[in-house]
Amino acid sequence: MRVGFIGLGSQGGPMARRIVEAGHPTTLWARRAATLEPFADTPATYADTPAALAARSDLICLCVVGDEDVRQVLSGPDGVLAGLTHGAVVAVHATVHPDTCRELAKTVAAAGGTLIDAPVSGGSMGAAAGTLLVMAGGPAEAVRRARPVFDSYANPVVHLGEVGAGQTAKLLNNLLFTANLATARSTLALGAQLGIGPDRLGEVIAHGTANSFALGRVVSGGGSLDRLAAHAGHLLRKDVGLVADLAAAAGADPGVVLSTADATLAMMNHPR
Amino acid sequence: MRIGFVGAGRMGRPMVTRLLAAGHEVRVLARSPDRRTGITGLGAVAAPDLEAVAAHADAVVVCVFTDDQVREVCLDGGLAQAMPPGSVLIVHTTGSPDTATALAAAAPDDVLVADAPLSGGPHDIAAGRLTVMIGGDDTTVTRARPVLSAYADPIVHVGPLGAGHRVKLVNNALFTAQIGLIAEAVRLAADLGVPESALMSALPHASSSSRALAGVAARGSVAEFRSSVGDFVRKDVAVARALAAGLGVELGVLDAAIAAAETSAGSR
Repeated sequence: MRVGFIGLGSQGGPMARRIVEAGHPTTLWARRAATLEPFADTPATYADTPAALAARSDLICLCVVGDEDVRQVLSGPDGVLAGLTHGAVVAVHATVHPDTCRELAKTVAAAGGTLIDAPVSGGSMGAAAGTLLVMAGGPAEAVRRARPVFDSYANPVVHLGEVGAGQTAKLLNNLLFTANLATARSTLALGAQLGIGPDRLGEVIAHGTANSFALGRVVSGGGSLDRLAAHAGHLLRKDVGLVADLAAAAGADPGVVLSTADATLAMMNHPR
Repeated sequence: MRIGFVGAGRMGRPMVTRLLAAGHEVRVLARSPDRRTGITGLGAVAAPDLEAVAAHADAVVVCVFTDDQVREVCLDGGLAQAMPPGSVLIVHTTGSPDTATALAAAAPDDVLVADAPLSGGPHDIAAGRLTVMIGGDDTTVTRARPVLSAYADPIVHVGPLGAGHRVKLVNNALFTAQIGLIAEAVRLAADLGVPESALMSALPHASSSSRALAGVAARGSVAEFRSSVGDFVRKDVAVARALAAGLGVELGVLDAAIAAAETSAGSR
């Protein structure tokens, strides 16, 4: 399967490298030539435009940052859609709104291809180690075809449902992580009121049934959310807001998980 | 050391095995002939009553199922009163900090008492890596360590008598709150078109992961997991709520999440 990869940043760079190293014929495109330099020692080839990349790819992976970046790279005379071959799969690795994926899926289908959403979790280290989580949404056949390429940097690859479901799962993960921060923070505060220091309590819980990734982050922040708020507060607020919008649009009661995530955002001084 | 043991069940049995392997002499309460055969089969001495368990013991370990059973054995049964001078009574059963205080009051002045709740299962005991959170003064913990180290690591000294229970209850309150949040996330996911089984294949590998989430994923659904841990959780959460209320301490955001765990699965 011929792969085209766009979005060689801190997340996409190591993913693309794993794909190339796994032996998939890979074409890269980047706005700036300097971005391609780290791949000089690989068999990867370069295209002049996204359209040229698409013309020689069966799977086009987009690891750009946001909704607007995905739209831009797809559209226009030089865009992916202009060069798309019949039956190609477009995988959106960026974390974007599920509705954006559903809308663009129609556009890609009109151009003869299939769009799947495939947001990732695990960062650049997960990609380099081949242990990234891929949350895929879209037709089963398209996910099946892309899977051998995803497998080069990911384990597991989970098919969540129809197009947009991968994004929804990623947003729900970020919502639950945010909520877990408040319960972890409150537990350490409760312990302090009962005369148990946060370090001892953190040590015991880390070995106990209540351990969580979120608790580890709070304990390593000295029992406070300040450090996490400084570098992730905006992102978490955005994602919690997106889930709230999705729930409202679906007429679903977001319930305690949203109110608890909101409590976290308030503790972080990043209220929604 | 000479060690008395009460409660050689699912958790207690591998503890006895490890204590024997560490070279201790272990006397285990076994009232029926069947139990006696099982105990002697392990290589331990079968003690017919609590007095025989306590006689000449350097330490007695209690690992019964409920706090009520601890009170029956140690207070009504007279174990605390029968402890020899200078010995240490170690209670593993999760319960109320008040029980730990009551045992210390009932025991003779020169008997040491520690509350030492556990985290982990029989396989952790067999591997010598059970987590023990112990409450007691420094002397008590120093005396208990050589016993516990036969099957526990880490042994975390969390504070004075009763602190072990407090930590365990706080842990269980958080665990329950996490189950509540997971249940709510699963319900919301279904409303947004993501089925529970798919969500549970993904989230244990992402930033929302927790032991509780791994447990749900292993069981296949929140409902299954909740029914498998329900009794333990209900019991401890009730004690935690009473403890917090008694001290005038707020559970804060934990409160609503715990309530979500307590409502029946899929009731909405």
